[in-house]
Amino acid sequence: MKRIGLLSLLCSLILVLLILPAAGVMAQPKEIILGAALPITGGQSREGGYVKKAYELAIKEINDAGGIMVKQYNKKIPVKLIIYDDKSDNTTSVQLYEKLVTEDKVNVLLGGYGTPLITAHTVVAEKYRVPYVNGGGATGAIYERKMKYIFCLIASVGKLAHTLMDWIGGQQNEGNLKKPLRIALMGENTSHGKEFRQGVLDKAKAAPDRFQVVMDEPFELNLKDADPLLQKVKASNADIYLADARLADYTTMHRRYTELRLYHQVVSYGPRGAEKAARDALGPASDYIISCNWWHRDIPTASARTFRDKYEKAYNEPAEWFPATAYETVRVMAKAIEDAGTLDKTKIRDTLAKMDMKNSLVVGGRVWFKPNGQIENDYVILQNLPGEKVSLIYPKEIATAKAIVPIPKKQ
Amino acid sequence: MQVKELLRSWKTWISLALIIFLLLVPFLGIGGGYLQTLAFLTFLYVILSTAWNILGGYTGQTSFGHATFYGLGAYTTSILVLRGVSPLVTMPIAGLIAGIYGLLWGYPCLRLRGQYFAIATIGVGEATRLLMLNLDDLIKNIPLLKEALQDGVLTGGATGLMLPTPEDIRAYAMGFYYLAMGLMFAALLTSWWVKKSKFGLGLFAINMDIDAAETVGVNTVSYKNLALVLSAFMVGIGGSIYAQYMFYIDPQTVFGFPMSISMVLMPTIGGIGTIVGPILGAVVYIVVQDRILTANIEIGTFTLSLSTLHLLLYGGLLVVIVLFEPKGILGLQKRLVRRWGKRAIEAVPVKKMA
Amino acid sequence: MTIDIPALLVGAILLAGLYATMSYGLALIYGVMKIVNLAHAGVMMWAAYAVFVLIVNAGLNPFLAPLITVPVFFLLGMLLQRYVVRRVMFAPPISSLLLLFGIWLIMQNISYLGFTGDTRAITTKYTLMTFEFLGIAISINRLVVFCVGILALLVMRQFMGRTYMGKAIRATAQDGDASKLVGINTDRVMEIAFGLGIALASLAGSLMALIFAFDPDFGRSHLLKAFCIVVLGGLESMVGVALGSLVLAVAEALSVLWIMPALQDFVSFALLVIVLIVMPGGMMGLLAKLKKT
Repeated sequence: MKRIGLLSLLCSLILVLLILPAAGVMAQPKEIILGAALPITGGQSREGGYVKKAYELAIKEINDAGGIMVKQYNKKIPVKLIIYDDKSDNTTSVQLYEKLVTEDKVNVLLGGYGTPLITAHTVVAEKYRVPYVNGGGATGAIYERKMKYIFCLIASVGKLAHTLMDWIGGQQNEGNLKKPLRIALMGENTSHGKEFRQGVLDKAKAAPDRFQVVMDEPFELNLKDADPLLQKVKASNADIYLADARLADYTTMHRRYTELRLYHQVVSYGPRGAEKAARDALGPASDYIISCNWWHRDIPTASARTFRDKYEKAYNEPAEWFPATAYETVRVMAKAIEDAGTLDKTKIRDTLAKMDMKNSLVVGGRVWFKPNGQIENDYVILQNLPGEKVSLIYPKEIATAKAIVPIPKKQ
Repeated sequence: MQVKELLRSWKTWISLALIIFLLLVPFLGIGGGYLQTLAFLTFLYVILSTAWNILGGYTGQTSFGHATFYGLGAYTTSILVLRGVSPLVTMPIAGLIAGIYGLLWGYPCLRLRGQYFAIATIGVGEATRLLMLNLDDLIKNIPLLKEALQDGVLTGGATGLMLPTPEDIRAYAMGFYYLAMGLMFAALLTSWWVKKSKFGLGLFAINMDIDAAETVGVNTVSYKNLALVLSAFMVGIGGSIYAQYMFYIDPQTVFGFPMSISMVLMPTIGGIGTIVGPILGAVVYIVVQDRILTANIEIGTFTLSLSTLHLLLYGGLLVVIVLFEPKGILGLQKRLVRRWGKRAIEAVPVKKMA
Repeated sequence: MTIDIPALLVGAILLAGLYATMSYGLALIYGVMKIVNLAHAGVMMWAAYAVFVLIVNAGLNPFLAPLITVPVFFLLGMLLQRYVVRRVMFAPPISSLLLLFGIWLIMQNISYLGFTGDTRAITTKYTLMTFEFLGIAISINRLVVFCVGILALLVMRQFMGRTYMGKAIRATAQDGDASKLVGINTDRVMEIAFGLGIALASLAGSLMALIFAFDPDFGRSHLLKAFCIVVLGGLESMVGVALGSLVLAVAEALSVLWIMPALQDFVSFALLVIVLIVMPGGMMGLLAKLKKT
C-alpha cells in the first residue's frame, strides 16, 4: 500500500515539476531580448519560414556590429532572438506571446505572420504594454482597436486594392484602357481576400462610369478544381480579371485559366505573381500578369538593393516581400530602442509612434506610423515580362518601364 | 466515518494542496505570470476534455465534430456581447445553443454505430464550419434573417469577430482565472455525478453492449442524446470562455478539424472513460506541448530545437499510447501499481515459508 | 450571362476521375478491414514529395514516376500493416483512428524537416498542355488522372474478382475465421490489402503533384473530401467510389449555377451526413435495393 502511495506521489511530483516552468537560461541583464511566435508549421508555414530567416539575418547583423547602442547604459548591448512555432494556430500564438512576455521577459516583441494570428496575439502585447512591430499582418481592422503598442510596417490590403484600381484608372485616363471596364473579381475566403475584394468594390462603387463589377465571388482555400469559377468568369464577359489567392490556389487557378485560353486586358492576382515561385509554377503563362505588392527585389533604391543582396547571399534564394518587411521590422525596432536611449517599454513605444526613418527599403523609403499604428506608404506595381523578367511600372520614381496594357493575346 | 477515512487518505491531502496551490497561482507570479496563463488554458481544456469524455468515454460514441459546440459557444457569446449583452450572461445561453444544436444533428446521427457515427461527425464539423464561414453572405439578402446583421456582420465570415478589450485587462485575466477554475470544478463534479448515477450506469452499459442494454430496459436513445446534449452544453460554455479570454475568434480556429481532434486526443491520452483521465490529458496537452514547442536541447555545440519535432513527438506519443496502453496514462499508472503491488504481496508469503 | 454547361460537365467528369483516384485507397482499406485510414493524407503528401524529387532532381518523366513510387509504397504499406496496424485490427475503432492519425503527424514532421514548409509545385512540359475535345480544352494532366482512375477501377475489379489473392481478400473481409478454416493465410491477406490501399493512395499523390502545389499539410482537404465520396459511394466498394465521385463532381459543378461556389464543400459534407443517416449503403446500397425490386 505504501508503495502505491509513494508511486502516485512521485507521479504527481513529476507532473508539478513539469508544470513549473524550467529555470532555463538566466536572462542576463546585459542582453536585449526580442521575441516572436511564427507559423513555422501549418497552413502559413511558407511565409513563416521566410520571416524567421529575415529575423535571424537582421539579428546577426546587429550582433556583428556589437549590438544596439543604449545611451542609458552607455554601451552597445547584444541582442538575443527567441522564435517559437505557433503551428499557425491562434490559441497557440496567444499562449506563446504570453510566454515570451512573462516567462522569457522579452524587452520588445516582433510580429508574427498572418492576419488571424496577429489579430489574436496583439491583444497580449497590448495587455502587457510591450512594443510590438510586425511586417506581416496587413488587414486594416487589426489596427482599428485603439491599441497603443502595436505597429505595422505594411499598409493594408484594402489600400493595396485601391492603389491597383487607381492605377487602372490612370491607364483609362491615358487611353490604354476603355471606360467603363467590366471586372471579374475573386478572392480567397479569408480576411485577406475579403479585404481585397472590398477594396475593389469600394472603388467601383465610387466611379460607376469607370468600373462595373460583373462577378464577385469568394472561394475556399485549397481549390481542387477552378473550372466552375473560371466558367463563371468566362460567362461574365469581363474586360479585367482580378483575384486574390495564395500561391497554391494561384497555381491551380492560373494553370486552368491558361488551359481554357481565357483572355482579359489586365490580369492581376493582387500581390501574387511576380515572385520566382509563382513564375516557375506557370512558366510563360505568367507573362504580363500585373501585381501590386509591398516590396519587390527589383526596387532600385540603395537600401532595397542592399537587403536583397544580403538575403540572397545568405540563403541562396530570391528575396520575396515577406522577408523584406520582416527584416525592416527588426531594423525599425532597433532604431527605436537606440533613439529612445533606454529599455523602458513605454519610452520605446513613444519613440516608435514618433518614428520617421529615412532610407528604408519600403516603397517610398520612409517609415512612419499613423496614429493607429499602421504605416502609410505606397505600393509597387509590377508586370511580369517574358523571359522571367519583371518590370516596375509604378510609382513613377522607381518605374523601369511602361506597362504593356492591354496585355497581348497569347498564341 | 467516511470523513475520517477521507482525511487519512493521502489522496485528499495531495488534492487539497494542489487546489490551494492553484488558488494562489495568480499571486505567486511563477514564470513571471506564465503559470497563470498555462493554468487557465489547462482549466479550459479540462472542461472540454471532460465534456467529450462523457459522450466518447462513458458512452463510447467517438465524436470528431465537437468543435461545432466550441465554435457555437464562442460565436454566441461574441455576437451577443457585440450587441451589448453582458458577457457572463451570455455563457449559459452559449451552452444552451450548443446543446440545442447537438440535439438537432445528434438525434439522427446517434442512430449510427461506431465508425459511421465518427465519420458523420467529421461531416457535421466541416459543414458547420463552412456554414458559419459564409453565413453573412447567405442571409444578407433574406428579408427576415438579415435583421440579425449588424453593419452587415453576423459571424464576420473569414474575418472573425473582435471583442472590445476591458480597461484593466490584467485584473480581468485574474478574475477570469478563478471563473474558469470554478467552471472546471463544476465540470468535474458533473462528470463524477454522471458516473455515479443511474444515468452513467446506463451510458457504460450502452458502451459495452448497446443491444444488451436495450434489452434490460435502458432507454438507449434518450440516454445517448442526453449525453450528447450535456457534452455539447459544457463544450459550448468552454467556447464562451475562450471568446471572452482571446477577444478574437475566427471560424478556422474554433470550428476547425484540429480543434475537434484535440478534444478526442486529450481524454484518450489521459485515460478514456475515467474522471481523472481527461484532467491528465489536458495537462499533457497544454503543459507538455508548451515545453516541447519551446525547449532547446544542447548537445555539445549543437542546439536542437524541439519545436521542429513537435509533430513527431506528438504523433509518436499517440502511436505509443494506442499500441501499448490504450487506457492512456491512467491505465499505465494502474498497471504499474498492480505490478508493484503484486510484488509486495508475493514477497511476504515467501519469507514466511522460509 | 450564360455559363457553358457542356464545358462545365466535361470538367466535372475529369474532376470525378481525380476524386475517384484519391478515394480508392481509403475505400479499399475500409472495405476490407473496417479501418479508417487517416494516414491516407500523409501517404498522398509523401508520394507528392517523392515524385517531386524524382522529377525535379532526377529529371524523370512525370508519368513514369508513379511506376517507381507505387511499388515502394505498396511495400511500405505492407510493412506498416504487419508491424503496427495489425495490432489494432480488433481493438475499438478509435484505436486505429488515433494510431493512423499519429502516423500522419509523424509523416508531416519528416516532410517539414526534409523540405521545410515551403510550397512546392512541379512544372513539366505537360503542365499546361491541353487536348481539344469538341471545342473544350482538356488538361492533359487531368486527363491522365481520369484515365488512371478508370484503369485502376478495372484492374482492381479484375484483381478482386479473378485472382486468388483478390478472392482471398474478399473472403477475409466477409468472415476472417471462416477464411482461416478454408486455409487462407489471413495475416498475409490483410498485409496485401493494406499495402494495396497505401499503393493506391500513393498513386493518387504521385499524379496530383503534377496538378496542385503542395506542402507538408497537403492532403488534409483531399482526405476530408474523400470521406464524402467514399460514404456517398457506399463505403466499401470501388465501383461505389467511382459512382460517388461522378455524382459529387457533377453536383458540385452544377451547383455553381445556383449557390455560391464557396459553399460547394458545404454541400459535400452535408451530403455525407445525410447519406449516412438516410442511405447508409450509399449509392451501391441504393442500387442493390433497386435491383431487388
